[in-house]
Amino acid sequence: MQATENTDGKIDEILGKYNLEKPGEPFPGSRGYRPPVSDYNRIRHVESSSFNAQNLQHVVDEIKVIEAGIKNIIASRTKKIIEEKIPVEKQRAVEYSLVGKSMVALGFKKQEMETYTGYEIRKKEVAREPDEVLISDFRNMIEEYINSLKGLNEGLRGTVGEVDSIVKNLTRVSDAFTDQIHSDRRAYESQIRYSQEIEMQIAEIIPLHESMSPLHDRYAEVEKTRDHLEMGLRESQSMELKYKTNIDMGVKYQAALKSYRSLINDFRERGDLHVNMVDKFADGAGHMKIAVDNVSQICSGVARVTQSMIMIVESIDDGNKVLGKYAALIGDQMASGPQWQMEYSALKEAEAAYQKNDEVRLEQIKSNRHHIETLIGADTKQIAE
Amino acid sequence: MRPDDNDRVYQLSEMIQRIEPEKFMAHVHQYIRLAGHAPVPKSPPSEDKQLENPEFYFSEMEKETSLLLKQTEETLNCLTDFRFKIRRGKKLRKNKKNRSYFAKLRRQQRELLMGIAHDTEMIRDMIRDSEKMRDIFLSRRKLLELGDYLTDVIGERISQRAVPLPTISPHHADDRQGRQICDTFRDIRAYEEAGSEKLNDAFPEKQSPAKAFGIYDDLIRNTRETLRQREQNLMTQNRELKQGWTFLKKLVTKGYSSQMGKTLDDLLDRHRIRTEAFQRHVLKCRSEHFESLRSV
Repeated sequence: MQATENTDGKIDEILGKYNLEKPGEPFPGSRGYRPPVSDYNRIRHVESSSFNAQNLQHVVDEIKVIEAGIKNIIASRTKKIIEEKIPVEKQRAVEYSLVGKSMVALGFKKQEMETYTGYEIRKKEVAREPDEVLISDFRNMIEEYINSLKGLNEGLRGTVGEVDSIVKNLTRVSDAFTDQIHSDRRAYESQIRYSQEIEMQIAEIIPLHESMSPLHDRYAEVEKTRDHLEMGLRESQSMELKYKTNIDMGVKYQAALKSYRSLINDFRERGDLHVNMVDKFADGAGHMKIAVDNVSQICSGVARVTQSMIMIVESIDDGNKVLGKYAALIGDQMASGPQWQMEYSALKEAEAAYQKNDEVRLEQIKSNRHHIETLIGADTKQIAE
Repeated sequence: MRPDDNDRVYQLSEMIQRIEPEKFMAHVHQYIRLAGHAPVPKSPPSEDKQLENPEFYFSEMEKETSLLLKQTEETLNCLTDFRFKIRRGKKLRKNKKNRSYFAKLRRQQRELLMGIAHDTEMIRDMIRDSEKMRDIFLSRRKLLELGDYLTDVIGERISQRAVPLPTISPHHADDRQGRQICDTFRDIRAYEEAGSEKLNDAFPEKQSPAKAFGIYDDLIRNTRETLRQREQNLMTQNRELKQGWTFLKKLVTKGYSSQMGKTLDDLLDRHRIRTEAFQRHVLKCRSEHFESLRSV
């Protein structure tokens, strides 16, 4: 009887524990997240030397390389549209005279058809040769390129921003999982302790119950307590399994989340790199557009100067011819005849003309030089602006 | 037999018959199918939009869970108060096995009810978890795929550039604009050299979003496997609950008969094996847990 009372006390104690509150789960605080620093450095240090006329040829060569490259790109990316006139056999109704027409209209005569050769204009796309590319094509293309890069980059930048927030969010979720796992572990352990306590009590009550006669006053009570304890143990063990499953799943989910997050983070870094680079491309294309304007100015200037050089060389050649003739005359015609006099005056005129031309040539050379100087000077100034 | 005993037997019969985990599982299956966790069988799309919405089945599943939990709890309470009594003046076959079988069957019923509640709850939790995961993984899927597509396009542009970037020697560019071009070209080149490995080799296979979703798919596969086992448990327990109840009813109304013999013993045996397995599992989990803590 005393044992039964002891058990009663224990039962009260044990049943009281059923309603113990579980500790609340702390809300994980978000940790300060910083995106990794881009290793993309922008060190800008370029040695410079004066831009003088001697280097002009190098620049021109360089320009040619650039232009060739650009023209190659354009030629490989664009098609030329040409129109072709293609002979085609066509059918048309035969035209009749007035009488014939009325006969056809009245049905006495059948309208006949005739075949003739007509032409059709067809547009055809042909691959372009680099030489056929005009500089204006290039400018348009660069503009399109810049626009499309900008559009692309806007989308990408937005995406990277979104992905960044996903990474942050995943970090929070992962932290929450960590906390959850920890609290589940603690709960699991206390649940185990609780189960073990009940196990001990069941071990005490079973022999008591089994030894009692069903006719005993407190038999029903003891039996009920045993039932309760057994149910309590079973439930506690179920809870144990629940915590264990939660922990296992949590660990698995957390691992998945971590690798998922690192994948997304890598992806975001790649996106970052791309955004950065596309910006550079757009910058580069913008610079190139300006450079091409400058280059084409220099090119046309150089072409003009070269043209006047050629003229000068030609006129010097002409002058040499005149001088040669003059020398020949001096050598051969020492006699003072009217013929010589005539020739001499003609030569004098020629000489005067030559001298006059010479002045013009000098002027020209001077102005050419001046032109080159202003051209390059202006260009340098313009670029510098 | 006293009228209130009769009532109680009738009431318990009703209660046990009402426990239908099939309905709960049907909602779970519908949810899994529509949430994209399982291959969708080819069937004509339903005209009712609601019937194609996984959220609908999710909430239905939640409702069924609470119903099942409530039913099992009420039945358990009712069963706890259901006691074997020596009834006076009725035609109960006298047999010394009556009491012991009654105790065994009542225990079986109790444990099965608890088992059903436990498995139902576990399945519900699994679905809840996978719903959370689905939200985490799938809600980002579109965005990531879009971003992946964009970076691919850019990567293509870079790799398809027909000619290399033109080179300008720095001493030809002594002005600001010239330097800018030089810098830009150099930057691009440096970027490409530094990032080419990352861009071309490492990313497509190893780091693509497809891989990330592969992790998710693995999780889902794993969950589905566990779910199938739990479903089997649940259905077996439900079947045996009803079989056990039929015996228990006979036992209290008519008493033990040798006809019950082997079938009843088989049933109790199956339950005993399950209970032992359960206990072993509990102990295994405990030792596993402490093992893992030690290794940490």
